[in-house]
Amino acid sequence: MGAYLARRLATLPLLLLGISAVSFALLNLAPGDPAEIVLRQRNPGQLPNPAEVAAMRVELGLDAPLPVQYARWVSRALVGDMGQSYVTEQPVASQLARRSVPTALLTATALGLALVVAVPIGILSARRRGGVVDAVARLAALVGAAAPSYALAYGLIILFAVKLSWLPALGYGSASQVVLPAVALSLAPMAQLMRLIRASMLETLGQDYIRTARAKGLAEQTVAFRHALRNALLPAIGATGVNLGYLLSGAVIVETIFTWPGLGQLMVGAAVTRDYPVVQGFVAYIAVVVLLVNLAADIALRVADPRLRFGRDEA
Amino acid sequence: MESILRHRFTFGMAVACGLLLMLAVACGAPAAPSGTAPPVAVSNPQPTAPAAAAPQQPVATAVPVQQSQSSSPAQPQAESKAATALDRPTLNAGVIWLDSPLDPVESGWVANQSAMSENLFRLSGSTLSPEPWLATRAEHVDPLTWEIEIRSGVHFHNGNPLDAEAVKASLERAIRLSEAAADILSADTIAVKDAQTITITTTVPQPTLPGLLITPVFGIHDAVAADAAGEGNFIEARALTGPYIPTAYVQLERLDSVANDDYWGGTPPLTGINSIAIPDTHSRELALQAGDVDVIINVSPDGAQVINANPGTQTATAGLGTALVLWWVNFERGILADPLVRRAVAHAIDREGIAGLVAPSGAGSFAEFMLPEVVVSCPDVQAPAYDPDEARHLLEEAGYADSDGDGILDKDGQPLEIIIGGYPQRFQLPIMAEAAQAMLADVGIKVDVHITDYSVVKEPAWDLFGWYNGVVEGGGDPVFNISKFAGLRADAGGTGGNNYGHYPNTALAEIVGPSVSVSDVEGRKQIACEALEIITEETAFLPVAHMNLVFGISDKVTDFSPHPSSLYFFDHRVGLSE
Repeated sequence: MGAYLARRLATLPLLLLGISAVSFALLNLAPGDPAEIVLRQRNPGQLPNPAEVAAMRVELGLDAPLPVQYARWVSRALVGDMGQSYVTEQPVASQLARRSVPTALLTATALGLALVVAVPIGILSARRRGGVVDAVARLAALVGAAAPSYALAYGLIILFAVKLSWLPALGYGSASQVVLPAVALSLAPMAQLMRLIRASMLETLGQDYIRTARAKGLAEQTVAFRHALRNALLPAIGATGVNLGYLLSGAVIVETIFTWPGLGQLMVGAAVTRDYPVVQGFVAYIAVVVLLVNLAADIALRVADPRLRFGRDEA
Repeated sequence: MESILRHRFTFGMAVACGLLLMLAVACGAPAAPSGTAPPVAVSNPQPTAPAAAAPQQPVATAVPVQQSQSSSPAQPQAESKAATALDRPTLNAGVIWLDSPLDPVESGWVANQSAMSENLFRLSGSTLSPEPWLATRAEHVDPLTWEIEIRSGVHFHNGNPLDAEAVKASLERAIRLSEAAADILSADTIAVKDAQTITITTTVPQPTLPGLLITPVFGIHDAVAADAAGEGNFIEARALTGPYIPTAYVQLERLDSVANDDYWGGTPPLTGINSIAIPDTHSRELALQAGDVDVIINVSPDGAQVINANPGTQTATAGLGTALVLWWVNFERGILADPLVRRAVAHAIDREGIAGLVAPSGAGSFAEFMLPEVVVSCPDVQAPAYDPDEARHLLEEAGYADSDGDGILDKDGQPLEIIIGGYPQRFQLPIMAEAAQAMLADVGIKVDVHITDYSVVKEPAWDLFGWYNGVVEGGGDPVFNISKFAGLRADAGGTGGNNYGHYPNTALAEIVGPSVSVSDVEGRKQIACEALEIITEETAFLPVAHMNLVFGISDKVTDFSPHPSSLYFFDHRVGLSE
């Protein structure tokens, strides 16, 4: 396990460097001059003249060649300085830190919701294969997986905020305000997890050791929950790590629609205004989070499944 | 540890899920989560100011400053004065952006829109011309000198009185810290004549100086307090004069304020106004319908129908379009450098029909000319009418014919093909481009639509480029706005850097040149009409629609006066019924 962990940790910096280099290059290929955008924001209605734009490019360090700009960014990022936002002129690191709290709250709630619903329904659906519960669950999973999150988000607002007035349409700061965005964000991973757990449970229930357990006369409940469930949930652990990446990318849309002051909303605003330091900081930050969560999921999987441990590192 | 995990895995998984959810929901309640306080948010207590001084009615001037109209503060509202802050409701507003700092010298738009910052002059909502506000009188003493009288009885939010010294310091700070301010005003000296009068001397004639002083960067503030508070602490300075005092500002997120009970125009009927940035148009419109906000800014034509059909909400607009959607015409790319082809394109596009698509009734109106009629009316100027036959005739005259029968005209073996550019942030521009594409195809012109980014306008990669811009800047002065588009103004790129179509503006400059010595409104309108005639004749730009600023409001909102420009969203009168 130690060697495995060391190997995985050693690859992280390389992955981060690659991701940040690609995103840096892509950002700079996009049309739009940040210097002009900054000037237009500071003086709406005023068309900045070329001299002002040129001066602003120097001020922002955009006059240097791209590799130099990237090297500067990396050297600063290594000591925790991700630069300043072109728009708010605040440190990017502090903006990311502040915005992380709402996003963590939203994604944790959405992930928790997805697991709480998907695990029992997936198990139930597998145990009652071909029944009404299974049919309804599969149909719901299909809809949940197919419906885009923005359509779900607007639909939820129209139904629960506008028509029924049960929940607020936007905002952050109270328990009721997290419900709609979390539901909108959770439906797709919930559907995916449910289908995964159902399939995994069905496969596990067909294994020889389950047949043996039944032959020993164990109650069906005991067979399902004590013998089958643990193995059936193993794929869900890996999928949870992957789903976190989905949740963070889905949050970009959901946070924008629900005016949730998290990283996703920050990212959208920064992309529109070509606020390169914020976009670059966001990409690096999310890359770190996703890589670490996937690492944690892999470790959890190896802890839960001895075959992985003894089959590779320690064999 | 691993053993425990293995044995408890199944049960632990389910428990962990439940705990995670409960934790998340429980954590959803904090008003200000520990350790996450916004870096720029500062709380200020509700002011306990003395009774408001009686406001003076604005006084008309002999120069292009219009008599104050309905938007000027009336007599103090005695009945609302009696109400305590606790009795009054708070208005929640959903705005598009909260993207500029509150300090006027760093833009000032957000503070201006949110009724926190005020200027010496204000743009009249009915005449779109300057009216006195913190000033009471302006006199054009000579071509380079203006004398401005300052309103008495006005206090900054920190209690300091507004006098000539304070105004001088405010304008000088703006010029010192903002290049745009220095460019616009071209001030040589600002002197105090007496306690309530200043004299501004400019380096070049500025016959419309009161209009220039409407620009938010000239928001009058307590410069000494602002400097003392230091960068990033503008809220602490309490340096503005408007009916609402900012109390907390998280840029790009929210802006909170409390009423200024010492406001010179009377006590506001609200406890405060809280603005939330909701960039997504549909979310903004749904938030109004759900009752989460009371006012929203900038409603889409589709959203307006829903909001008006929804019980308890409605749209409001001043009915004047102060923003223009137009096409720049590229004079340097070759095809449209030919005046006959330019004229043909102008006749081939049904601009009025397209205006009906992008600016339906209530959302705007057809822009026959660049400037709206309320700013300048030129009955003798004829814009090219929609006439496809005339377009075909002009193209034939220019030497184009469909020699290969493919439906696209050609000349010297080259097909007549143009590119219409634009950017997606303004929904009107893609619609305009696609509609024009079909219309131009009817007369044999092939069009490629390139919707990319607005910075592409500076590249030679288009023949027509869709654009959205205000046309009532400089206090609604028509000459100012024409000059801005033609790249004749120093602050708009006097070198022609912003004359994106590279329109050869020498003849226009000769017409506009004498305006530096014309200060009367009619004289400037005449110059504007001459300028409009030449730019219309040469098809320098193709205007399409003047866009209204459309608000969505709850029926509970009282005394809401929508302003046609995006300079002011609220005033001291807006209220909220229970």
